[in-house]
Amino acid sequence: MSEARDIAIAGTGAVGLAVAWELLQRGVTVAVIGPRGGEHRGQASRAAGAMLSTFSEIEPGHDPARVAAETAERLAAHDLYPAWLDRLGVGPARAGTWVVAPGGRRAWLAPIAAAALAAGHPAEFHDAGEVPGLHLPAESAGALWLPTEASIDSLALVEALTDAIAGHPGARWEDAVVVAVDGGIVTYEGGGTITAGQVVLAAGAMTGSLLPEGGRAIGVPPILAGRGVSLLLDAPGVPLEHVVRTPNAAFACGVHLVPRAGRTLYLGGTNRLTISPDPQRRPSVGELMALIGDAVALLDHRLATAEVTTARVGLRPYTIDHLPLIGRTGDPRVLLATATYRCGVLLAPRLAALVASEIEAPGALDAHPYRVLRPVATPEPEAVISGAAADLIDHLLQGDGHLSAQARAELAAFFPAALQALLARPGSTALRRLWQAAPVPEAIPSLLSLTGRPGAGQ
Amino acid sequence: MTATSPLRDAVLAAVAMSCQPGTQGQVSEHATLAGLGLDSLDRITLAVAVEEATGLPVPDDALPGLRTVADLISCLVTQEEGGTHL
Amino acid sequence: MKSASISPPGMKARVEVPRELALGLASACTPAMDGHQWAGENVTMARAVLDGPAGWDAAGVLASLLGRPGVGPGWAVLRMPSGLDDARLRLAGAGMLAAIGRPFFSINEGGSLWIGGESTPERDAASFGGNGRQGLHIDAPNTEIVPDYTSLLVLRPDPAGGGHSLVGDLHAALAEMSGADRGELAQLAYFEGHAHRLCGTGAPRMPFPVLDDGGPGRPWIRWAAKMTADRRNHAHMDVLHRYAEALDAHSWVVPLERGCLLVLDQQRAAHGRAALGDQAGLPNGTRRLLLQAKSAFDPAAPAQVLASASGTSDE
Repeated sequence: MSEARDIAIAGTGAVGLAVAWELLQRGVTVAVIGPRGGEHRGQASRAAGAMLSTFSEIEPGHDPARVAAETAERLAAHDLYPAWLDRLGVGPARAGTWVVAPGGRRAWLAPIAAAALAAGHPAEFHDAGEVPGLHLPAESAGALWLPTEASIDSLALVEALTDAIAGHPGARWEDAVVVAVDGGIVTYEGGGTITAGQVVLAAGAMTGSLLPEGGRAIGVPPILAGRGVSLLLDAPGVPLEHVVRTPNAAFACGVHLVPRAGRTLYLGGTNRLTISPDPQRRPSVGELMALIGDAVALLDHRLATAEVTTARVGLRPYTIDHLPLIGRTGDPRVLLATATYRCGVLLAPRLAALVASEIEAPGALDAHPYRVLRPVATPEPEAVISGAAADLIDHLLQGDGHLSAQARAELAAFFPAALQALLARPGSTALRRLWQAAPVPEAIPSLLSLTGRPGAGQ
Repeated sequence: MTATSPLRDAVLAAVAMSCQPGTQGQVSEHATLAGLGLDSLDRITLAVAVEEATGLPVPDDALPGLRTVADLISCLVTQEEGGTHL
Repeated sequence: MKSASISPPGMKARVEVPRELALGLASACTPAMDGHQWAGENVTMARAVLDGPAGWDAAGVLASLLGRPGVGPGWAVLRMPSGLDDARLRLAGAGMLAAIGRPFFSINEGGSLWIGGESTPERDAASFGGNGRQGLHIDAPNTEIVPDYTSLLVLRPDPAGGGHSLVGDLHAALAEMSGADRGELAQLAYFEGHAHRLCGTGAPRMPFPVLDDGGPGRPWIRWAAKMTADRRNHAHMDVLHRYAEALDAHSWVVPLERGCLLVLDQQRAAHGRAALGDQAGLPNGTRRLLLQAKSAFDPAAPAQVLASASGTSDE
């Protein structure tokens, strides 16, 4: 069967499906290629909470220009969301998020509150004991209530999008895993192909693996994967009404609880860089330990008695500059809609509108901060490591350790110099290989870990 | 398509070098990388060690698919026979 | 002949050069030079080859993208047909440059029109893919006569997958600057590198104004990213940084393969280069190889004749 369709969409996560549906609404015919049912192992959307984090993703120490660009796009998405959910027939998002600061980290709440207030949204500081339904540990340093920051059941969302598209006369769905995209041709498992005038590639962390030479010849920058493990818990003893999360801060995992239907709680929060993502790999004991340990220690010790019903892995796609990739590549037939890191579900309707505008008027996104062909500079290790040194110390101390101000300052100077020298040493090929593949702060814990391994530092 | 003996030996030696001392004795063609205690970071040091020992590239995207030492050897044999990509 | 309205870069900025045109240019022309300029008879021969249906089409597209006056993006990627050897690519490239002006070299490297060579290997093992980035700039901003057009001919892209060309829209960036900033950029106060022994560019001019509205037509924007690291510009660092950021926001990666010729109107577009990939283990003869040539505006060049005939109206 080869009825021609205008646009092919490769990838069936939240962003790919949102793009497909947006195009269908605009009268464009689409061919969607990707799994419909099944486990969708490794897919970020289905492993997500999802928190619609307009402000609570902001970290202290982020470059203000990046914060401004991302907040603007997230606000645009936030404004589109209610009507979008309504058209899809999905119930409204659940509004209200508590951001809880772990012991000694009340300052992490400040940039989030500042961004919310600057955008005209409310943000209220409270004591930790005032978070309803949660028994926060005594050392928690405070809580920020964001009444307009919402959450949604991401599984319900992608299923609603799936139904809307599958039932639409303008859509054809090829239920198969995409194995390659080359120009206007999408090849799927089994050897079949679909050809369209343009292809929108929305395959998350696997995007590079589908393009010839990883997409380099058409200007696609490297896409890294942050592996996250999440659990669904049956937790009648922890009756939460709203999202409760800790802020992200460089290496802190930002553990979070999202209430779902019934007494189900979604628990998420690990983020481990992998330079060769393997979507088939199940959660490891170590990842689960980190997630559960943080949840019990930072959120509520009663979670220890919750029953685990499901464990999932999601690979969060991101670029070296941590901004999404939207729009056309060096090949006008291939467009990307990916690299949304932790915000894909929130950004989905906004990105769908942007991609559709690019398809209708080529060049519409040429000045957009998320354009695919923006120059993505490879940062110098010195700059990245210096910027992350303070956070690294916090991360290693796990919040309740104590260093004198002098020791802290000395370590903050020592770490960058030591890591820089280590990378320069002739025998450090493995370290350099990791760094070249991922010159981002998220690689630093892996660099630390790798240094001690046999064979790494000869 | 069998591996030449020097290639096989070089790979086995590289694998042993990437293992913790206690596990080195268990290295064989049939051993699984996971069974030898090698996680995804260890696969990077393993790739580097194998590249240095054999002169053949082991790209990052090949790493997740390698289950056993034999898989690693056959990935290199294909290249040795002239099937290099780039 | 219509001139293009403001084209989104990239989509319409790629021009396929037909095989018979490229081969015609390569066989009719030679590498002979008159000093720093491509020999007059070569320019004549090239324009004769371009004087036919395939050439008129190509000149028309070049007029809309690169011609002056014009509101096109000011840059284009000309894709030569596959299978041409290096010598033919040079001649066909020079021939296409003759469609917009008079090809010349500004730096004498053995007297040939096309200068440049293979990228030199990184000796420092501690370069983690971060070196080799060349910030956005125009060539020779510090001379009396800034070369009108510059071009890059790709003979071998970086086998390690880096080294993509970057292009920036100088005037879109300028439009984002405040009046006060524009006033400051117009001061005769800026320094960049040294301009010794350049050909075809007049005398060195230092200091110079970044925003140079002195001549007819569109203002020049004498820009090089290196200026933000030059201590001679210390009194103006803030405005230089603001302009650099604005230009970054209006810049793109332009992936190029063998046989691509990137041509830029230096009055409108800046160029640069992303860092090369990991060069370790790449022997001589395999690394990125790009050549460069300039072209001076010539109202008699076929694309310029078409551009001036159609005027500056938007379609």
